[in-house]
Amino acid sequence: MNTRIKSLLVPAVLVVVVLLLPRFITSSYWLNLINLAISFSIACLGLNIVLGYTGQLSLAQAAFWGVGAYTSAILTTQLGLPVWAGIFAAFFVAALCGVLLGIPTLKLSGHYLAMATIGFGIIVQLILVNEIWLTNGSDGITKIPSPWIGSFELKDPATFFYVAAVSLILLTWGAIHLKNSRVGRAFMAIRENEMAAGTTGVDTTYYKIMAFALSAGYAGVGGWLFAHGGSHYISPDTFSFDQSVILLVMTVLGGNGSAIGSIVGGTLLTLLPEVLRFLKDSYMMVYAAGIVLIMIFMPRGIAGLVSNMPISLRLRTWWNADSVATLQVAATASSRENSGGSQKAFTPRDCSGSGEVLLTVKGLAKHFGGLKAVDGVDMAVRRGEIQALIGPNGSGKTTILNMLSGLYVPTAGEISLGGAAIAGKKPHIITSLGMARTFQNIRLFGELTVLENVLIGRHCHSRAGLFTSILRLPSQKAEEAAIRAKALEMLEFVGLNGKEFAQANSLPYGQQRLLELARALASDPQLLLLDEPAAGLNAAETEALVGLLFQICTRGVTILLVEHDMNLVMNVSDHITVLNFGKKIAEGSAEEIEKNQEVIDAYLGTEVGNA
Amino acid sequence: MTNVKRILSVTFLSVMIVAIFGSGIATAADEIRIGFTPPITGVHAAGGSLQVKSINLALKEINAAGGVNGKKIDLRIIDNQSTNPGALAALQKAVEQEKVLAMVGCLYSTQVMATADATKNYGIPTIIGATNVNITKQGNPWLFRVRPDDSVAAGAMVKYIKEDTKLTKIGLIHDADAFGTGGADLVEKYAKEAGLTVVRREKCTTAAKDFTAELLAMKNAGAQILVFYGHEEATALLQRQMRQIGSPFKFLGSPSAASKDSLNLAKEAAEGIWAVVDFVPGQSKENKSYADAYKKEYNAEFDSLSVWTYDGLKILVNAIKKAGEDRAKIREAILATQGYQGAQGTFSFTPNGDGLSEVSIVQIEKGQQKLLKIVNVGSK
Amino acid sequence: MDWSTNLQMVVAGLAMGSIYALVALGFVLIFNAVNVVNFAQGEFAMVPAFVAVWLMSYLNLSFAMTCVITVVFMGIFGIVFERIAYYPLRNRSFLPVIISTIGVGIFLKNGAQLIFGAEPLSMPRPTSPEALNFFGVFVDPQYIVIILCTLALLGFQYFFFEKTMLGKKMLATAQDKQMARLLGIRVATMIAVTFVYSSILGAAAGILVGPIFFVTKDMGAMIGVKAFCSSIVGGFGSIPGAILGGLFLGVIEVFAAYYVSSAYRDAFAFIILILVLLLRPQGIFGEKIAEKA
Repeated sequence: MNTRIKSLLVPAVLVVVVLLLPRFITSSYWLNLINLAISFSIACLGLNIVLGYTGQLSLAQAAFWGVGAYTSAILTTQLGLPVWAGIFAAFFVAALCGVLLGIPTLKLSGHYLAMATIGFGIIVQLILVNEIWLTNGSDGITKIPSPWIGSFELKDPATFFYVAAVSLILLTWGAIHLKNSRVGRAFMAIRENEMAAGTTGVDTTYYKIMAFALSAGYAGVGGWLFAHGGSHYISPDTFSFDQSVILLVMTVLGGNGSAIGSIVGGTLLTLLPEVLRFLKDSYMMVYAAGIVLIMIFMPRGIAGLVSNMPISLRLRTWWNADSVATLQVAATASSRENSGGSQKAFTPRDCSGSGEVLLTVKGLAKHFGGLKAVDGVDMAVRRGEIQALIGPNGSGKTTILNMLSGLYVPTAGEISLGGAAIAGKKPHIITSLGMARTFQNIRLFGELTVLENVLIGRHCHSRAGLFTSILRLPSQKAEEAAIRAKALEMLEFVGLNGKEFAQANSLPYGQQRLLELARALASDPQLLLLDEPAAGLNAAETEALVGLLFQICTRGVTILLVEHDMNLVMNVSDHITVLNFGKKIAEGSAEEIEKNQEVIDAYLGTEVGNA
Repeated sequence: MTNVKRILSVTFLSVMIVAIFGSGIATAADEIRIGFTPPITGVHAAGGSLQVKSINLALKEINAAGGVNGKKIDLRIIDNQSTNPGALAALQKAVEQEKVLAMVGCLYSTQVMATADATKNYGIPTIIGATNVNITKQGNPWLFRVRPDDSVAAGAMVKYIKEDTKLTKIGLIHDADAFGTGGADLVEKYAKEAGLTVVRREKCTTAAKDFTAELLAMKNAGAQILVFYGHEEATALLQRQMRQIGSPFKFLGSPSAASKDSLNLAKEAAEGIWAVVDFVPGQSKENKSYADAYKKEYNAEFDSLSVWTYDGLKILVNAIKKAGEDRAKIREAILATQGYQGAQGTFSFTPNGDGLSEVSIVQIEKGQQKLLKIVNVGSK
Repeated sequence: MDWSTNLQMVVAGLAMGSIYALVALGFVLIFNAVNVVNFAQGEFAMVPAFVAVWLMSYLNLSFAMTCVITVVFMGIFGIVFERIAYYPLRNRSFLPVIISTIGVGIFLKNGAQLIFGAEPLSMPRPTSPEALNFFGVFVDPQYIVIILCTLALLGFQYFFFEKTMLGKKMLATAQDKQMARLLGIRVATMIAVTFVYSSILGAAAGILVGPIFFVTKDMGAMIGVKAFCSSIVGGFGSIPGAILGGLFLGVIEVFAAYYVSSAYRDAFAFIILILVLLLRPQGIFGEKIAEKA
């Protein structure tokens, strides 16, 4: 079946189901429950964005759901705002609350966030109860209007179902599009490894707040459906911490990270009261035990179970057949192009040993309490060279790399990259100015595919924002294609072609190093920082690495290398800087360093002697 | 492992199928169906099971006496899940799938409000136990309250303070929920009308633990009597902590202050306090016979907060007896109920649908309620 | 306002703050050991309170006997908790562990309701219910007991970690698991011991707070979140920070309830938390710690 028909298949099925459902289910009891399930599912979709995609735990989803419901209810009942406008008000006010809560807490680790969201939920409920002038207090808001189309009121559950179903489909569509976009990949990069996300060019704070706001906005729309459908009545007791927990159970039961899973979870737990009646007052207890068991035994929920069943594997293969084929063709095409001598893998730069200084470091220092890990280091890296930074363990090499790449704020000193002062700047800004790095202990986005890892490397050279990503505008599609082509070239360059769809952490160790390198190169760096790239590689792999380093260098990328393998260092380095106890003790060419008595004393003595 | 997963998935599927198709219904012509939507699951489940016990007692007595006009009463109990959406779903299920003639609804005010619209649209007579004043004042002709509403209790409190204690400066602390806020608003309003002053008013949450700040505020404002509108735990804590700052004022509490739970918690700190209650157990012959029947059936003391379901079902059935199986006529018959002697007191319905307008003021003596006075202020 | 009112509130605040401090300490110990925030920490105070009430009211045991049995029970409880909520997930990221501690917390709360009923229970007091009058300031003797017990536990804590081998092994495990393992310390055991110790601290909090407030399934939830706020306000990961933070928050809360709004009493802890996170993320009493790259 060709792609065009396939792409129409899902919408066609959905339209038929939505149109026909109220014909088969006529009881307003069931229709209302379905509408309620949709409202919950939308809140779960939101939670899935922040928890499933971005890996941040929010325990205030019911509060955002309530903010949406109250915003629209207040505006429509008291100010006469049209009900349809309420949907946007609900989205934006809830999203704004998400931003306000996110700003102070998201800069810190996930624990603070989770607890702060509990606090936020408590505060929201207190406000709903106490600000009677605004919310009518515990009595709640009655007689919330239904939406109208012309002179037709969408009041009975069957007509309101259409509103709910369309909202759900659009928002699910948005969530799925988001996942496979620049923004979605940034979210997932944060989930997989926040530090690596930063050095790969993702503004982690910005994207966390965006995920949080979006998640709250989704909950707001869910709240809108809840307020204007069903009982047309809302009161504070509905939007409790327990409800947040139930939304959490729905999301993780359905399958954390899967949009469809959120809907399955939300629907299942809403429609099952009959079956769950035996639980009586142990309701919450069984839910709670469910959370723990799901976490331990099926971390990917129902979606994970279903997607691992043979039938769905077959289905997926059939579904993806075309797109995989297209990609393979593209990959082979790009590789043919490359082997044909074209050097498109990197933007060529003039680097004919001009001697121009790319990176200047002056008086750089980092103190941890009383410990002076780095204490007043000056160094310079010339464009087009491979420079090595060596020294005994604990001499401050990695600390310097961490300051260069923005993970540490220097205690003192200046760093300038191509004339721009970067000391103390955030990692993603430094990456966008042309510096990329790898880590000593590999930091890949392990659960993502090899290709996605490299795509994220292009983050700072692409610009698709939230709405372009969700709507898949033509500009976004063009950009995606360009990113993809570039990523495939990178994989080809490091020799990982054919592995595009493997999960990153399923690769053998040596290939993981190569993948990290490809991800770093994808950002088109002027300066590449490598933290012990040869650690754990065997002799053959190390040799291949040496070749790769020279190739990278000849293509115009300057390299600053921290490495313990002295053969490699002496082999590739144009220039070597030696550190000991946080201070520079020597620098020069390989020959000079080998002869330097101070270096031999401090560090090389035994090793060179043995060699 | 794969097998386990397959079994799990099959279980999920079958559960779904059972859920959707398992609710088949059969109708029998010689029965009258009445719906009841208590909380069977969720936070109010414990109270819900007591409501079920109480209403089943009435059901048994009614059917043992031959039912209504030769037909047995078939009570359909549907879980409201202790939530607002759950209450609405339960009502819809009762009316549309179980085809009930009339309803015994919910105890909690927010759940009654969440179902009020649907009740009105269905035009189905519904007995309720919620005490929020506004419920019967919103032009919904189908709700019938079989407990004294909060204005009765608040009116009685103020009347008692003014006429019997002769104190004039009231300190007011209340729970911020619908029950507490509604009650406290009324106390403040009636106090003003009666020429008494509320010197300070403070809100607290249901889970509040330490009332030092609130009590000191009352003391420094010169309160002579503290009126508390809230729940058992907070009432008992407040009494204890009041005693610990030297009991600088008297205490008059909402019905929870005289409940068994509260007295068990407060122990000696409750001695001598006043409280307003719906009724004093054993104060009438109907109440005694209810207590005996309950004891015989369940071998336990009855729960004061569930008696309304017993009275409610009986009032509803009496109305059906008179009016037949016509909802509009049942409505009129309920409104026509005057001077009915129930287990909670004497019911006389107002045009708004309020059935009970008397409460009692009690004092706690040796851990027991001592009736001081029955106050009938009429529903306002 | 007059000094006796203010002093009265300081006393009440310090008593409440001592409870926050004890529970906050439990948070910090577990966080330092396994880098996970235990969201069921509040329930570590709720469970022993129910156990103690049950022992005293239904088995009529003496107060001392009750304390001993409760502490032993909570010791076992700590191990079981660690095995269920932490151990199976120890190799995963922090998120599943947090979710599972939340799950266990809710499970315990609702389990307590199922076993002991929804009605609050009152725990017999070891001290007189009559307040002591110090020149117009009324002090509940139980408050004095709470504050003294907290001080005593802190003294013990210092002794335990500074002077005993077990304490030092626990500290070593908390600082560097790899290194501790190389030195022959049984890391898994030390982590279990940390959970045991933390739940015994919970037992102390539960038994101390039970007699003045009632024992309910929800008593732990609010204490838990406020204790967590305390530990951040004081400086997360720091033991003295947790204690000072707890006392600070306890006192602030009473004053805010009196002077600002009693309806928003529960919000102040979070407002302070957010302010601290914004203005001084390392906590009022804490030092800045760098993350590992």
